[in-house]
Amino acid sequence: MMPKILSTAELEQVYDLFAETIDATPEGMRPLMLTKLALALANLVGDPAKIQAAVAAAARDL
Amino acid sequence: MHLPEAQPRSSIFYDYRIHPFRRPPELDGGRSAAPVVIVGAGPIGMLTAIELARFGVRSVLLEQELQVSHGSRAIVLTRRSMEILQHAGVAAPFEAKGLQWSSGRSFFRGHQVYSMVMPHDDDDRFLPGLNIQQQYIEEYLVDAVARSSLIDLRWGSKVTAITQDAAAVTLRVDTPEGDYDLVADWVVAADGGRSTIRKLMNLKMEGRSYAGNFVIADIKADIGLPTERLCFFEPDWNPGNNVLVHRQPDGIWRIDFRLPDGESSEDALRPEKLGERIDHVLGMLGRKVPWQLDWATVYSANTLTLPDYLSGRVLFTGDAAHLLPIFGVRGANTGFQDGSNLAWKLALVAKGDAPKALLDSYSLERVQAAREICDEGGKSTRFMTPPTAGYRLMRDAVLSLSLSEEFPKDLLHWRTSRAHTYAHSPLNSFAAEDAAFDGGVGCGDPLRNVRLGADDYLFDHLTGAGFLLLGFAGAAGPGGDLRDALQAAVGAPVRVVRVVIGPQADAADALADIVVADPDGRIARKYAAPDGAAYLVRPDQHVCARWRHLTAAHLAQALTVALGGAAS
Repeated sequence: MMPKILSTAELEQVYDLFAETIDATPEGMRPLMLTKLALALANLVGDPAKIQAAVAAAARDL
Repeated sequence: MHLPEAQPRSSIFYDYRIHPFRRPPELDGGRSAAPVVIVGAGPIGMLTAIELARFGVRSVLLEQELQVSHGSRAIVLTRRSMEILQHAGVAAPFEAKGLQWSSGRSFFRGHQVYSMVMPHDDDDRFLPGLNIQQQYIEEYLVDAVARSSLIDLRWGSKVTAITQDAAAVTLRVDTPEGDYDLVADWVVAADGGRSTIRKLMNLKMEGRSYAGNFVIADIKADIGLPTERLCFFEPDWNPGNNVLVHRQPDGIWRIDFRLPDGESSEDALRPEKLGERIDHVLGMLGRKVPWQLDWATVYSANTLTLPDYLSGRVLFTGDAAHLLPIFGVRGANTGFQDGSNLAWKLALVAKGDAPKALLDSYSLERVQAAREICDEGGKSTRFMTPPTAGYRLMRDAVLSLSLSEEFPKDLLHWRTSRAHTYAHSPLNSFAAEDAAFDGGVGCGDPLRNVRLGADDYLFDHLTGAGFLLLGFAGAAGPGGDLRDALQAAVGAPVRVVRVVIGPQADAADALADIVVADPDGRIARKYAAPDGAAYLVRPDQHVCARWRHLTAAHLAQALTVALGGAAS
């Protein structure tokens, strides 16, 4: 289980920002944009173990 | 000629009663003496009329139908709505009939992914939610209206035209016995989402409408689950969409689900199609029991509001003023707060006790509240009915993550309608004195209840139509400056109900209209009030000034501001 770091209000802002960025990206380019986003965030996290945990959570229950 | 339906509507749980049209004096050359006409005898129009009557102001209430609401419609009243109804003196039948509740659970792929208990303080008389069908809401308010000699409820009366000048408003009213002109100083448009008055005046709402259509169906079934909010995201039988289930009195259950995109309302309401989906919902609840349909309709979500609720001498309230999303129970509950805010101001202006500017504050405060609700309700709506591919992908990601992770679960919060705070109201004053309190109830906030004993709460004592002055006295009773202020309150330009709160009930003597004993200091603690402190409270229970040490001069200044006069 990952810790909750962003406040709910911050998470809501992120939710809207991501949704609007997805909508602003041409449909065929969305996986590319989201993958770049994942890489950029991984770099900011800077901890391979945490990134691995996030990847596992993302790949679960699809 | 307006010919309303004269047969009682059919329902499997509610006995509709026809209220006959009565010929009004205007049809025979007479004239009503009421300064206010309210259009629409729905919950908000009736509450407004009842509140006006408490202030001694007459109203004519026009209703085009001869019976109460078709269908259960607004079924959840919030705690704040119940407090407003209690303040209006009409809460008892609601409490007796309604089902109170405080929690909810959400499911995804057969797993519970979210549960929430809404905040409840031991000091509150009412739980956060109370489920009751709108037929009962209206019936109880019709009964209260009938008890008042100041309200003239005219059934079967439909407005067909409205004109106004600087002095008055004239309504053209069509009835089963012909039409007539009705002249009023003020008109309140409480005629609902499809407001005739709004259309006749060609006023446009601002905001957005959401694309998805939802079905509401009420069924009678022996489901045997407790009263709570149940939400199912993306059940197998309705991929991509969601289902809400609420219990109502009389063994009725509300089922609410989104339709697949592109499906028409007519198609969705076909009995065999609707029946199949209801069977799916009962299967999902693990309760495949026999059921009967009472009523069904289709709705869509909006976050729309008029930019101004005052247009000349016409005031808009409830759904006539704004269309808000059903998520978070924001329709009737926002409307009750509108009515409570409007009634006292309109009463004082109609009686000539306050300048017309007081009505501007109604529009200012309630438009601001509606905009906050549109913003907040918009978030819930974007989760419940994602408007674009981006929002749908985000929603799906959050649901999928919530099966194994805790961190995204607050995004499933359904953000229930809450009591609004008028922190920036022009009616507030003495900001520095407000800021000097360490806690308590701030300027613009609604009062907070305090439990005093078994079935005994602070709000039960705060009756009377007027401003409230809550004075906090020590064991020896109110002394010095507070005593002077309480004495001065008697000569105020409007009625100020003096409430003395202190450890010794009998120490308050003739200075108080109401004495509330506070032997353990519970009220004083909740209000962070030392001896000699005082709260000035508007007739809608919102604090407009407070002082740790009140003087008579400050009270007079705060009252002037609270009546729409000059700032202090």
